[in-house]
Amino acid sequence: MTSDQNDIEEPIMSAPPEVAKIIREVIRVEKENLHSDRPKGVKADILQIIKDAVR
Amino acid sequence: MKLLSIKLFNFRQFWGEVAIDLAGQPGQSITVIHGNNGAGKTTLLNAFTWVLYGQHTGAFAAPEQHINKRAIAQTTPGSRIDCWVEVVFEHNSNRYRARRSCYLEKPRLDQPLIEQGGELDLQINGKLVQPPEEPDDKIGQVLPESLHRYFFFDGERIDQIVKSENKSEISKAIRTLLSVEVLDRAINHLKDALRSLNKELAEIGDPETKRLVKEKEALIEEKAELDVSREEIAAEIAAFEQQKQKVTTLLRQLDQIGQIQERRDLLKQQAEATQAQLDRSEDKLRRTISARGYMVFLTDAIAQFRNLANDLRQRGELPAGIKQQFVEDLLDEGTCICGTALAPDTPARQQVASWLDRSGIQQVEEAVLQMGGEVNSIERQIPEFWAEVEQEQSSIENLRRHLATLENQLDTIREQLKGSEDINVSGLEQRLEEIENQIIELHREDENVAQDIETCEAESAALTKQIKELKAKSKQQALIQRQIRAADDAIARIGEVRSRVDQKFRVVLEHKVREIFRQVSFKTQVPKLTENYELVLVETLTDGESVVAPSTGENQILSLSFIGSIIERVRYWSKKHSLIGLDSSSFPIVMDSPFGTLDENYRRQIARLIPILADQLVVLATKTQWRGEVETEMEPYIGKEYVLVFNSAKPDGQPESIVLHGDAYPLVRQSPNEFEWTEVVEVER
Repeated sequence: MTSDQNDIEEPIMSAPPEVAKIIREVIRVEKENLHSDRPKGVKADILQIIKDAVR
Repeated sequence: MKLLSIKLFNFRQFWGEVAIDLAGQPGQSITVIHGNNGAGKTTLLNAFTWVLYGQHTGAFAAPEQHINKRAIAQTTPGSRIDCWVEVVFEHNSNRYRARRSCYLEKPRLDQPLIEQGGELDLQINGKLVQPPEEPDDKIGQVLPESLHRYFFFDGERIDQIVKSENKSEISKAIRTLLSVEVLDRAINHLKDALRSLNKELAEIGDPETKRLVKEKEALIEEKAELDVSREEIAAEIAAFEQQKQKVTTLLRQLDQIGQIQERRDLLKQQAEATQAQLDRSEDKLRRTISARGYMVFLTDAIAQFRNLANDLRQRGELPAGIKQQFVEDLLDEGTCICGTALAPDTPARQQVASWLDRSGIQQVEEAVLQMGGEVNSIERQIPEFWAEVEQEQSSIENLRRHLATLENQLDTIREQLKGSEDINVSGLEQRLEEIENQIIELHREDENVAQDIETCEAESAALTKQIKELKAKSKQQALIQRQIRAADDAIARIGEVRSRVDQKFRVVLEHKVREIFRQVSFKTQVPKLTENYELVLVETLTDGESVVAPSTGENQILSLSFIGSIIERVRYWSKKHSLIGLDSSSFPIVMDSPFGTLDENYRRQIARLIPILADQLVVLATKTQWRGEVETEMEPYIGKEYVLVFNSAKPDGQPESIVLHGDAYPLVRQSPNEFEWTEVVEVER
């Protein structure tokens, strides 16, 4: 494993906690819905993720 | 995803229930299933794709028919025949049991067979997935449908994967595998969320707070002015109250003087009235004397007149006896009262005419009569005149006396008021009344101002409440702004990750595909992953790279190289990059007719590489496909081995068998009845 590969997720790792939380949650939701070309409710879920992360 | 077993019930060639446990032990993760053409290898491959995705591969004939023909034939018309396939697999330490089933009601006559159902039931750790969760979604989360063709494939058609007409599909698959798709979607959906947040922010609005604060400030200012007014009014009231007090005290002190003054004023009025009456009496006396005073001097003249009249009477001249007019009338008529005609120049007439001279005394008589009346009247009036004069003189005398009395009294009062005459008590009282009225007016004004202040305070309180609410909104605003900044930051960071994935993963994946391809192919052409994640084969020439059109065999190698490398890379990245990597770090490969039409050398290379790259491999092969080099390369990794035994109803069919580990296993044998079906026999190892 090279340092470059480690660096791939560095922008997420170095993010402020609330931003990192948003990213993690958003990616989780997107992964869950990856199988669907037109997933339903994702927009609302992501808006809620932001609101939950930044209070 | 690790496949554990597959069970089939009345599915195509497989009559009744057939179970196959799959190898998955590290180092022994290959399951080989031997079968002749038509025995059910493609059916088994499609059993996987049908259960998991409701899909069939290209080589699967009559995909609408799933139910075993023998089962249908042996069922009485009107009865139901069930069919299902069940796959059990593990994923992230969870056990999935996926079963898709269909059935048909056998018609009584020669009516078409219509299958029904086809739904997927999924249990995760023994718990059935129920709405609102969808079993298909759960499977998709384990291995997206768009990727399944790279893991469940027909080796003879593997070249299709990288054909140019499918480049968008493979591009999408690579993007998904490399998490680019996830990152792109995350960015797009975060942008959508940003739009929503900005909209929310715009709706809250700040100018409203500013306006209300300004309004409140104006109210505070107004209230301050009103307070000042009220203070001024209070001071004014206090001043007037002081004045009132002074005037009241003064008036109390001057009460006695006031009474005397009142008496004085009354006496003055009386004196004035008496003087006026006196004036009137004196005037009247003057007028009486001037009008009738002469009468008292006529006494002698009256006596003289009476003497003259008496003389005339005594002489008989009075009264006159005949009237001159009467005589004239007789003469005009020419007839005497005695009837004698009085013709002119007749004695009779002359006799009568002589009476005319005698009638001349008549005027004297009348004058005497008239004057006699007047003289009598004058004589009667003289005493009245004197009475009247005396009365007026008496009245004047009385009035003068009264006036003198009043003047005396006034003199006394003046003496009493000496030094205090200038004090205007009524003026003071009037002033007091004015002061009291002003105080009342000021109190009224104060009430109004107090009312205004109250209104001011109420409005101010309402504004404070509104501002407080707006401040809450403002807090909300600040919160949304923070959320926007966080979302912006998240987008930028995901974008950066995506860029790094793009730069690093793509290059590494391309490198891996090339590495595998080179191991297999002896040609100079190399695979290339374009910026759009399309997989092409390029040739390096002196003037640069050129995309070449690969042969079917080259496409097969390219496809297998690609599948092998993405499995290896994704497994690697999933472990190292748990956040953006796919949840699955292991993938099975189910290959029907592996290696297609590849040359021996290629087959050997692929057979050597695939077991190393794949976490789990299910190989469905004919005796021909399982030739020496393939068997040699894969043998060390085989964990389970099966033979599909086809029961042929063909009367003159030739039995066929395969020797495995020294034992012969039938591949085709004579059916004991008119039906054809396949059984599964596990190879003893």
